[in-house]
Amino acid sequence: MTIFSKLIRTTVFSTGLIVICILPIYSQEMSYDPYEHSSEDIWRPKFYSALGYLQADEKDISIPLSSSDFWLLNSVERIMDRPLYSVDFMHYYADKLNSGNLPKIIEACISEYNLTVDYPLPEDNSLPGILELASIQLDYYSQEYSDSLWNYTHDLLRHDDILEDLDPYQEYINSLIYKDTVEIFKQLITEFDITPLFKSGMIILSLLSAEFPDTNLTSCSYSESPVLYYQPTDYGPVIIGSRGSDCYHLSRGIIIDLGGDDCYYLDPNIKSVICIIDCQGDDRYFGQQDFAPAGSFLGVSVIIDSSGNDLYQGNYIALGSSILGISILQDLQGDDIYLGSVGSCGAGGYGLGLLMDHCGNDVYISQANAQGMAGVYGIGILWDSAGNDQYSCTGLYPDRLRFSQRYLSFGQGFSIGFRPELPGGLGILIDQYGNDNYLADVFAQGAAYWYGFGGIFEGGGNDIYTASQYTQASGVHLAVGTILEIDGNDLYYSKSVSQGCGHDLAAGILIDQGGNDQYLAQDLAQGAGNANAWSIFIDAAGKDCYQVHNNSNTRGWSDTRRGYRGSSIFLDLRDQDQYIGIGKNNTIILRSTFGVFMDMEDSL
Amino acid sequence: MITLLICLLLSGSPPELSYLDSLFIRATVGRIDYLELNEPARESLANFPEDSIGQYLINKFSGCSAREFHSLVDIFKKMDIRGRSSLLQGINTEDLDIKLASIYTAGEIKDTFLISQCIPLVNDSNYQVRANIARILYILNDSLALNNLIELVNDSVFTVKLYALISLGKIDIPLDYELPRLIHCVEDSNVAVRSAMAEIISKLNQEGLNQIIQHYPNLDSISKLSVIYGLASNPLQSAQNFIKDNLESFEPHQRAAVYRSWFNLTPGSIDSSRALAPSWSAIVQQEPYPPLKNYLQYIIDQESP
Repeated sequence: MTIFSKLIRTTVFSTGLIVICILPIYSQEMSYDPYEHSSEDIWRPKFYSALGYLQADEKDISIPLSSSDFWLLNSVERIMDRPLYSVDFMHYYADKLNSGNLPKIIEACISEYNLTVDYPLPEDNSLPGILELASIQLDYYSQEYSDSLWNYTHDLLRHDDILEDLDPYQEYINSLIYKDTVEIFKQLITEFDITPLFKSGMIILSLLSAEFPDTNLTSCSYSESPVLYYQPTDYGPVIIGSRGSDCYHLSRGIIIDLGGDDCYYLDPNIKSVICIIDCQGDDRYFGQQDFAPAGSFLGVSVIIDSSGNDLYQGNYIALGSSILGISILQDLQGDDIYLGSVGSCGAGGYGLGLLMDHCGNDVYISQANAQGMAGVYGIGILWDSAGNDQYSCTGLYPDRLRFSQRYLSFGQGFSIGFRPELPGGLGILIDQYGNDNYLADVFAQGAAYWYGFGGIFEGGGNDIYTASQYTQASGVHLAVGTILEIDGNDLYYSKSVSQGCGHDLAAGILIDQGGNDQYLAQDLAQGAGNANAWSIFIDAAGKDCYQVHNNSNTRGWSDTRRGYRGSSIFLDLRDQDQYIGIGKNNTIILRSTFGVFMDMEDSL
Repeated sequence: MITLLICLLLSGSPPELSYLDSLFIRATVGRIDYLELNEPARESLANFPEDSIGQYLINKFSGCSAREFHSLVDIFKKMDIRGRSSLLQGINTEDLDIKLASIYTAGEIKDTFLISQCIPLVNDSNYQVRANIARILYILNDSLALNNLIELVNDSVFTVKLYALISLGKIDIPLDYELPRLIHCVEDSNVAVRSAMAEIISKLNQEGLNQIIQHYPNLDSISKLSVIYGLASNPLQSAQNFIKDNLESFEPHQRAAVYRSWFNLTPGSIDSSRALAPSWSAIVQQEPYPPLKNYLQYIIDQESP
């Protein structure tokens, strides 16, 4: 009976692992919807040719790296030097993520830090051995150093929360404290070595091929119902749960649950490793405090859920998000709901935050700093393979500098650095398929600020983008923001500094390769920018409709700042389009000396 | 209320630091609900005697935010010559933030005395110092500034080179005889440098134009484009003749640059020796490329009353 029972449980676990391993490949095949003009060749040579109208060639598209004394992530540096490389970069990461191979994905992220990470594997390949080895890596960070990082990072994290009710004098005093905090944080960050975190992350992922232990029904304090296996260790418990509906309370350790509609209450420690693999069921994951579920600070957090319609609810830094950590949330099937606050759904600050959802019509709701968002030296990735998804990132921080009724989003393919002390990172949102709806406010949707890159890669479907200012392919102050839309009849609505807009030594690149699209904006949008930036808008095909409120600074407009040029290009390569405002079909207009509107019905 | 406080302060002892801080916060606050505080606070700070406010303001340049920086520059603009001695100290300080900001502000208030005091710094080891000086030297408008700018055009750092070239474009001294030392900029790898050189070409006299036209066949296509833009923007007849003679052989993007340049030429700027301003209707007929025909029609529509 015992052997038979073990066989069944092993089969269920193995089935879960097979789903984990196979589904990414399945979803990859399913998610591609090749568009007849999806080849980059449709726009690239014509775009290069069009650059002649700006008295420039492809080598001229570059953001100068100033005197800043900080280093940059590999791809950030490359994208700053050649902003169009951001297109290749997003293709590269889309391919990596499509493979679903987590170790390979992490290796790609490791290379961004110019690191080679060799990591040991446990000799016995047991679950406790893996947990112990992964956790030991974090002993590299001393308690004193960890506490300092925690104190200053936490201050910065909560800084914006306390600003709302301050008068200018209090705010100024606060800003002085903030500056001091940033200065100390900068010093700590300069000394930071992320290698142990990546080692720990790679080791914990090896449990996907771990030896399955003998099981016996037993009870433990971490689960409200009996479990099949329980082994306490110095670094938390190792639990294999039953196929029933279980309820777990955990702050570190490993849970492998074989089925049932489970409920997880997670309360993670800093400097800890936590890994949950749930094979079946409609599950619910709740963060009791910040950094859960699938959040980390100086730690590693992994959740892999292989099926079911799941609910993930977290507070700060959760749902595949980290600060100085590695967090991965991979959901393989089902219509899922992700409810996060600040720093959620694939947000990373000096570390990796990765959220991968392979199937289903999903809902992502966050308040700020979320959904493929990167902070200082961070990599934040949200990847969704299929389904009609809803993305919302707004509603917490009022934009006190610009609008009384708008919010700062800082999300949906966005990166931001600490100006002027530290640079941003790589924030990308990749959605391969489905009719998706993106809702955000200020600073969002393929945008970046201060030495970072923010991008959206949209593979197909009829998508709707709604946002306000500094959005929809906009680079602001030495940064690059890109949207690459492969196909579909899409709608873009924004206020300004958007839709292919660079502002101040930056680049904004919007490339829509196909579909009958609608673009609506108020001003400084649709291949227009200012202050020595590159603003690039390319619609490669389709019967499109363009509308702007302000004709004087849109569609191929640029200005002269600091005594020299910015460069802007609006390029519609095919088909009869409708223009409300300046521009018409089959026409070239030099809007300003270094700004051009081009509508080409056939070829250049 | 602020005026009353100013009167009290001007009539008595130096202002207390906390009061200055309070004004400074009001002068620089960025929140939209407090923006109306900016202007009166800046006025108040600017109206203090320099000996009681100058050093305070200069020190604020160190580590300041972009909003604070522009507020401070605005206050010094309001102080005009009364801020001179503080800015002079700033130019000669070791603090890089203050030094750069003081040089920048000297340019903003166009104080030739302060700018002349910057000239010893043109060989500073920090390229930002050199770039900031290059940016403002044109204001002196003399041969000393010209010679220093031409030196800076050959700087290894692109920013310095660019600002020096922009400054040369603004200086009111003919550059024709200096052209051999500048002409390499038309082949620069940076588009902004090439464009700044095109601006200089657009202001050359006959001697300079002869040199440029002679040099033209040796250039690659991207460098030629800058020359075409510069020549088409130059109102002298020899420049215009060169463009007209070669227009048919130009690529569409080169012709677009010519049309744009002609569009920018005002009738008053055209050399008296030139027979006619561009006849757009004739140009439309000659233009073979439909998208450019539409552009020309757009230009005609723009020129129509």
